[in-house]
Amino acid sequence: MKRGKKKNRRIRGKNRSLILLSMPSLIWYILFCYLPVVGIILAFKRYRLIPGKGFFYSLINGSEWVGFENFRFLFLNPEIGKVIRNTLLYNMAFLILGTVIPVMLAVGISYIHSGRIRRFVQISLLLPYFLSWIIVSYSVYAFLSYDRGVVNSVLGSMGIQGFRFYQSPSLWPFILCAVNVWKSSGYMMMLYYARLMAIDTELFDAAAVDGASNFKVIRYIILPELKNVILVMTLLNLGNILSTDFGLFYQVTRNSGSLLSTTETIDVFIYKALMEKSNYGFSAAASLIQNGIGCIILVTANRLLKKNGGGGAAL
Amino acid sequence: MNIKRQGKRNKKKNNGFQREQGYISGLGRTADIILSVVLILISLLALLPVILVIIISFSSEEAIIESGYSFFPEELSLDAYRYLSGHLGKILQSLGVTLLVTVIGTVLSLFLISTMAYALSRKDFLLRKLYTTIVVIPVFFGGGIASSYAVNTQFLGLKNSIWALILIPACSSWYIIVMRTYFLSNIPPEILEAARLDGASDARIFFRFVIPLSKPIMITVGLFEAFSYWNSWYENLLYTDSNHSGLYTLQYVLYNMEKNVSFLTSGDSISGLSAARVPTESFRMALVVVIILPILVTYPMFGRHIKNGLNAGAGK
Amino acid sequence: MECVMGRSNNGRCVLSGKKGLRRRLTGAFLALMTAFLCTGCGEKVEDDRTGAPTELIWWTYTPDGNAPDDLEKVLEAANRISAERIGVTVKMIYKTTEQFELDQTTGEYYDMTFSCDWCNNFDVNAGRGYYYDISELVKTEAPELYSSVDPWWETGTLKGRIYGVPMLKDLGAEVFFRLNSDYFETEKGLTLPEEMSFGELEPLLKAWKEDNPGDYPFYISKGGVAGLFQVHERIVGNYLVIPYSKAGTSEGTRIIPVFDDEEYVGMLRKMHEWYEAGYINPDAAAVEEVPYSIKCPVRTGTAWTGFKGWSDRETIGFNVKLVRFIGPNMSRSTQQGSLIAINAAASEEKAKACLKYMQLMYTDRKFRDTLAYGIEGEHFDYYKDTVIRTAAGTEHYMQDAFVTGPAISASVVSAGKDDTADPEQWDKVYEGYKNARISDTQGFSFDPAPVEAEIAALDAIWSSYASELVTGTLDTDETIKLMRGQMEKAGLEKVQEEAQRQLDEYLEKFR
Repeated sequence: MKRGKKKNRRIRGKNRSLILLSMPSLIWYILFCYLPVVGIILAFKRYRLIPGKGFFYSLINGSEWVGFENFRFLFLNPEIGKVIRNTLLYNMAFLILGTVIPVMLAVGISYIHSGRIRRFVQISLLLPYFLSWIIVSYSVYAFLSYDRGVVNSVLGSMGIQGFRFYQSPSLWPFILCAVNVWKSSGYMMMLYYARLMAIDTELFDAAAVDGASNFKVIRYIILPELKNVILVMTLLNLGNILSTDFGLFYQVTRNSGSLLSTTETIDVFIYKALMEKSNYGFSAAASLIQNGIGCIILVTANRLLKKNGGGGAAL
Repeated sequence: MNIKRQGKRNKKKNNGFQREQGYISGLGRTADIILSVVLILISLLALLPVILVIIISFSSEEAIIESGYSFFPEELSLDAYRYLSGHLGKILQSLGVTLLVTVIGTVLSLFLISTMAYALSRKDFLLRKLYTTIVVIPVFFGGGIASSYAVNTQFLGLKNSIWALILIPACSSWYIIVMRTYFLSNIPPEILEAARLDGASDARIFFRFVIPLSKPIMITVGLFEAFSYWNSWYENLLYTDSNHSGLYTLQYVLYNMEKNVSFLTSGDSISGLSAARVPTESFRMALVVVIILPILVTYPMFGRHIKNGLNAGAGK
Repeated sequence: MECVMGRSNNGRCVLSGKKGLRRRLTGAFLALMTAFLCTGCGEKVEDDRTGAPTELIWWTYTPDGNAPDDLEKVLEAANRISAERIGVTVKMIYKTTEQFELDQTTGEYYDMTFSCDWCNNFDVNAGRGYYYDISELVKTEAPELYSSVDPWWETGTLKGRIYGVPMLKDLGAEVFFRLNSDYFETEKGLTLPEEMSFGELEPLLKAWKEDNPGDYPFYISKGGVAGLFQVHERIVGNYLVIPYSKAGTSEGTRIIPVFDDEEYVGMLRKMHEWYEAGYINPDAAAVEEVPYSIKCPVRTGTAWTGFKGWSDRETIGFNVKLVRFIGPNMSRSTQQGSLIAINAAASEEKAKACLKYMQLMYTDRKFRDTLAYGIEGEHFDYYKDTVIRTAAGTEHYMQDAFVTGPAISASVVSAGKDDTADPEQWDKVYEGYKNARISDTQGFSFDPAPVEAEIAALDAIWSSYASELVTGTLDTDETIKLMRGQMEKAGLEKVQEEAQRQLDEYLEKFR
């Protein structure tokens, strides 16, 4: 009895301290994420403001329920199949490229002796992350423009006819993957690198004593240590499987009609549909579908992960 | 093969894989040079578009019109920067706001993220599942922009307040989960047990041990959050009125300038919009230079500290 | 601690322990939610102190997020005048289209707001009841305002009630070629007429191209030729229209898909021919705008006869001659360039004050000029009954007239002392409208509510292919076939039928 009580008090004490510690964060979530959550019903209502009353009053009292009407517009597009296909394929490609390349870069950088070179490489790879997509689209245009771009002028000086890049759909999956890798590798690389830097030195000392080669070190120490981070990233990205970075697919492609068959994704379609006449109900419905499906996939993947012993990474 | 490698290792001055200087020293001299060269080439490739942007910002509009975009422009000009400097007043004013928001925001952000991440990393935390769900749900389900806007303005009173710029982007589920993973992999439970046996509360454990042990991730996330605050403009777009331009961040001022330039040049779709002369192409690129300059300057200072987190002595 | 919430079966307080913690958290959360939902229920009421002038909140438009630098100064001067004359002052807040959208929808308070067909859409908002019905009030409280705007009240009227005050400016669409007269007239010896047809541009393009084979005479951006669509009235989106060429005929009220407007499609085919011939820049569909540093001899734009804004030799680099090729065409959408509407949630006092303020805009020239151009002597000077902006004015108080009120009651702007505008400009422009092709729809406005989903899908499809169609990049007929096919699958016919039904009903009821 006594021991039970002591343990109980210790548990409560420990938990109280953790609760207090995370309280500010919790409050932030309540204020900025959960209070607005009521807005989800926008997906099922036709929103009308009641003049003189605020948003939530109008939403709850002044707007009528319309069932799934707000979701209809997504399926009226005859090309919706292609659009979904593009979204999934690109996200898969980005998932693979976005793991393999940053990990290789992080490991490579972590082996370089010179601190200066390390920092130079890091900052160079990181810089594209901070450019907005509009700027990236201008940069890409500076290369790919038909009459003013760098690529065509180089080709021209070699006597080769220039390409009409913005009217050639087959080139763009490669262009977009390259641009995405260019822009986001640095960011992911930094996260993996930080993890690498925190690996216990004892592991390395032990490896040295055992006479392990570099490949062995990478295979048996580094990669396993990175495993959890990689899994968590992959998990979170799976949750976004139906969402794409709008800037990449709309601005970099200049919304060129010829390229649609290989570059249009769900977010681009939604933007074009709601650009002229914004409709909060429609965009809420679209988000709900994208995120709802993503959530289901995440939860499923998470369960699978837990079953297969990925406890360290699972949520 | 083994013998060869052992032989190589015996030739090396340092013994085995070291990590004090912030790298893994498993490579011999030649391998290190080759790797360095390869990575430097990759870096230059990544920098190529950025370099092009910088060069364009110094090209004259006429050169761009005449011969297109090029790494070797025919004519250089400072027109774009001159146009920028014409608005120097606004820019300098926004610098103050931006710095303030960045500093306070980063500190707050790191605090919110790390505390929650730590709580989530403790397997013996009774509310762990609940809190994890609370953190993950907003990644997927949100009220939408109108709803958030209404809450922030009509309930929290953040319209035209600097706190809109600081509080709204403060926390991020993504970083919480990443950091939680780091804590799980990095912080040996023995240290925590030892500290608790000494009678330390969780809060003290957190501040005394966990944070110093997690320097790499704290600095990395801190840097990203800082740059995110530095580059923020969306909160300004939504929450500050035109008559509170004192609250404009640097990025928002630049964003408005860009929109204005774009409007002045493309205004022929609205009737009766007068013509105006602005160095459009080079100006846009000049904006980029202004944006990335602080990053280039500050990164080397902090990059040094993303090193060894777990020192041999701490475990004992 | 006193256990106020009661005890559960095992004797422990309901609020203690792990379960209790959950209950406490849930309770706190619910309390917070309730509190906040209640605050969303009402808006703060402005309290009117008698004696002090009524202050009105006025929302108006800015393309970027900035108000003019000297706004405070100018408003001070303007407010002094209005306080003295009618006991009203204003506080101006400048908003971008996104900010308008968000603030209007979430119910932020304002007294009067800018509203038109491309920003803070007038018909949509009035149709939803967001604006104050001033049908009777304007006649009793501001009779001079009423007579100033008459006979154009139709543009601010929906279903027979007046919801907004038109800020009169150019009401008809007139689209011009802006031609380099130094090149075409002086150098080439041609005489540019006052008007020409679209196809008559071709010999000019050809001549220029022969002199400059590596360059392109007709530079356009992804929006295509600015103003080209003004040959028809847009009823739904950009794709269901009534051509002005049918006005006055039996087909004057028949809504057709834009692909069936022969005049328009004919011009698009011409564009494609010119694209293939190298007269148009090849990347047109990827380009956002055409900066003035590109000295192409041909541009277009929508304005009114006598507009001087494109004739600044300094900025453009050469002398410009305006040659009209479309218009004047008039319909509800061309007339709705600028209105001011009063918040439906405003009190009657405030509404009256707004009307009086707008009346002042129309009747007092000096006051109107202050709002539009700034402080005399500092931002502009008068010259022969027109206005010339000073350097300070161009730097610190530059905005287009429609932002601050009606254009016709402000002084006209001259480009310089040697290029003055005609002070009688607006009278002449409105005279010219007597020859305008006026649409037969008589103020009809389409209500999208029954077919919103279809419209969203159609908008997306249009937006996907429009740039390549209107810039002539791709073959016109093939692109039209593609677009028509997809749009029909998305419900084009359904929307067309609905629009026609509404139009026929409207003409029955309100004609």
